[in-house]
Amino acid sequence: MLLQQLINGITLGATYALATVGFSLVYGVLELANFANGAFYILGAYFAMVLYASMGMNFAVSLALALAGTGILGAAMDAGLLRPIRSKGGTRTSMMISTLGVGTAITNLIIVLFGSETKRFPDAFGGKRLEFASAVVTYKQLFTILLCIVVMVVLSILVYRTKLGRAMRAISQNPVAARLMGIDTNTVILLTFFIGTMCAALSGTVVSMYLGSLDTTMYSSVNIKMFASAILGGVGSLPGAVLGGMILGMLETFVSGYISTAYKDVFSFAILILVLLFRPAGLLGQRTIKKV
Amino acid sequence: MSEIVLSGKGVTQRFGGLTAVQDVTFEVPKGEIVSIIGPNGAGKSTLFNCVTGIYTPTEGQIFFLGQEITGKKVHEISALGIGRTFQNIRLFSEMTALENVIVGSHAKAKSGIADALLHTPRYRREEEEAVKKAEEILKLTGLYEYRYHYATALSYGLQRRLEIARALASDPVLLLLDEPAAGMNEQETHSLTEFIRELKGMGYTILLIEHDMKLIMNISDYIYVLDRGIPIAEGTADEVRQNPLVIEAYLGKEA
Amino acid sequence: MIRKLISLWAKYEKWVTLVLVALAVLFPVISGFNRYVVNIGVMAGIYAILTLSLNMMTGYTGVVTLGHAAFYGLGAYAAGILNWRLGLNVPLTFIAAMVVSGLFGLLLGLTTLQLSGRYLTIVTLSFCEIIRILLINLEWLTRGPLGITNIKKANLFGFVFNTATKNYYLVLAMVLLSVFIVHRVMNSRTGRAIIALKNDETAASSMSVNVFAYKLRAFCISSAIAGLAGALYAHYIGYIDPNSFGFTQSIQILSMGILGGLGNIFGSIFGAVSLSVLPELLRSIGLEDFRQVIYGVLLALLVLIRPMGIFGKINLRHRRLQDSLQLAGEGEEAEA
Repeated sequence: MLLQQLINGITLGATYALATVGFSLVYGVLELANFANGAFYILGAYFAMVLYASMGMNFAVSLALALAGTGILGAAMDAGLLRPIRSKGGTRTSMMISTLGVGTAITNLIIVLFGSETKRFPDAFGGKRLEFASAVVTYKQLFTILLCIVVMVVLSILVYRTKLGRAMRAISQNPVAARLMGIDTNTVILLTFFIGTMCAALSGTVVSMYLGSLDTTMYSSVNIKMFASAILGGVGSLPGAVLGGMILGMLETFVSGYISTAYKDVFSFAILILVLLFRPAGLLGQRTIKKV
Repeated sequence: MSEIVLSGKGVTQRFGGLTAVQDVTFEVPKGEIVSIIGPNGAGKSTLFNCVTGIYTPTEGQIFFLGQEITGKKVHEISALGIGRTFQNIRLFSEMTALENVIVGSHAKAKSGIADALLHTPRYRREEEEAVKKAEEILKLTGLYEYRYHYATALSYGLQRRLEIARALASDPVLLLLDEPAAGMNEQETHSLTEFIRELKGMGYTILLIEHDMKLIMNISDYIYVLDRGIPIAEGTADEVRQNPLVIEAYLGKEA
Repeated sequence: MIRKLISLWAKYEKWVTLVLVALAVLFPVISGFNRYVVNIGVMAGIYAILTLSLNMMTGYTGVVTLGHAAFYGLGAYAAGILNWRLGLNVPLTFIAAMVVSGLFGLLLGLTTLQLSGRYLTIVTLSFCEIIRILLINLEWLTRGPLGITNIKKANLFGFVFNTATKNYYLVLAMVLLSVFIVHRVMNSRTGRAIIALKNDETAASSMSVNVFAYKLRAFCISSAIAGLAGALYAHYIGYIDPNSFGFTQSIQILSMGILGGLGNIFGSIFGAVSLSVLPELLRSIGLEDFRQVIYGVLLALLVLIRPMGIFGKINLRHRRLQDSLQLAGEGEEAEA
């Protein structure tokens, strides 16, 4: 029982972590809560489902196409909407509302095109599973966890070891200085959106397969969970996003298993608020000294 | 010996392993201009922040008019009669010059939400007084014609002046000026020097942080010198000017 | 051109306001007492109250809230439960709704207002979710996901608000009350302290403004007004359920506030009314299926065209004062 809960908790945590890194990447660079991410998450999953389940393409190819397509849309949102708002001196709140508009439009377009009923997402691993001790691990669970690890490693290398990553971190610390240092901030931000959106699409697809179904009502809850785990772990910190997602996933699984399914989210949010009260910058975020 | 308005005893401020201010003791007598100088990173601003309550000193005590203010909140300390300006101008950007000054007199009024909703006699009286007082201060500081301008639409020099005007609105006993001449040209600095002298003439006690040596030497009654958080010298302008430690701190060790 | 218009508006502000109020009063008559149209007016009015209250928290105080629906819901449930269990009605249910929401605002503010802005945003979001889940699960009190049905129409000392038009005037009166409260508070010592702390907390506290206390006041006023909107809604619709007060609703209110322009009373009302009418307009021209899509696109585009909202950064009183000194032309576009 405990082992099984642990496995389920880790998988759920991995899916949250996957969703959160994309959100956190953008949040780290622009301090923008990108609520279109929840819609890209669903869009990516629908994209992959259509290609894989309806058109019968290979799963890997479907996934790759879904990621690329959604990623390009995410970048287009930045170039077409958010960049002009920034250049007009709009605040983060204005940009946030714009992403909400995009999210609403995309989610409802999906409803118009596909209807609002829940869709089935077939298991690319044909339901294979491993059994050991008293617990069961499905292949898709393993796939989810492995994918989470791979994405983390790739993103960590990207953010902490490449020129692009250095530019991203420079912008997050001081956008004006970064521009003066000759960093092409607009391009870097565009790429951040591209990568962040692909992460959202990837997690949407993987989670839908893990759950076996997908529908558009996930939009709000995905956004809320992403925002919560990003802040819980520490704003703009990649390890923080993973930690935040994992904690939230574990909490939900264990609270559901041992305390109450109904109140699982109350626990998550109460703990989030408590953490913020004692560590305002999140678990792995850095505190700054107030300068006057 | 005149009355001491502000004093600090062994004030120390550490941030993690870094000691920004170490064991600083100082006194500001009534009606005088006391200055704190030192090279960049000497801990001047940190000391200011300790006095105004933005930081709580790790060690030591600060007294204002005989009352200990160490660890009190910023707004409490301000309400006791300490007005201040900021090195990097911090005016209220969505307000006119007049409104900025009215906010400065916040502590002098008492009306609350109920007064505002019902327009009680107290509300009317206080509003009228606040506007009248603010207009007086704006005339005094030569800003009256700009009273309806947005604070941020004013020129740099006028913004600095407005900061002082706002600080004066609370009728402070002590005025803390944080690098008031920063970014000013020689002529602006000159008129600022005159203005600070006038303030002294009106009976204000002033604690000043400044980089501009000429200004400091011109108007200070007493000077404290900090270097990397440590007090290295104090005295009148002449005494400080001749102190070898001060010369070394400013010019670096001679080879 | 636009500046001239604003100057004119500023000069004749009282008259413009009077005409707008007169139009609002005559609206049911103009619509020919069409139930469907007046109903849109009632909902627009409820949203106007919500947006005004959000404006207090977000526009003036600077706390971007993603959880305003929580206070709306608390007010609705306070009124709904009191009516269902004890048969209470207006004005007691209104007062109770404001008190309950205000107290929750106080509680949330007391515990979390020390946090800086962006963290407060997630706190408001979390709070809204917690409240929604509690409303779903505290079945003994709220009837859970079924919601509370058959809440009686507002009944003020025997006068029953049983038609859309009657409710419209009740809501209109409450809109005017909210405008009065926000206007008076913001044009006072309290309001100046609140704007000062939004512009610069350090500077405000250095001017003796107790930042925490003033934020808390703004929070309480804001949440109490949102509670009033909830009570109006509960009595008018007669049915409330937890999912009417979730994240989507919070976003809706925030969008209205941003679109109209934060920190501006007229903007709040304009944002609320236009975003309430828009979906109905789209429905009436046969784009029913696409209305949420178009709504989203328009929202994204409108923020793009005017990032600070349509009436953001317009301060008629300042404009009037500046015009009185013929200052126009000196940076008065007020890029504050």
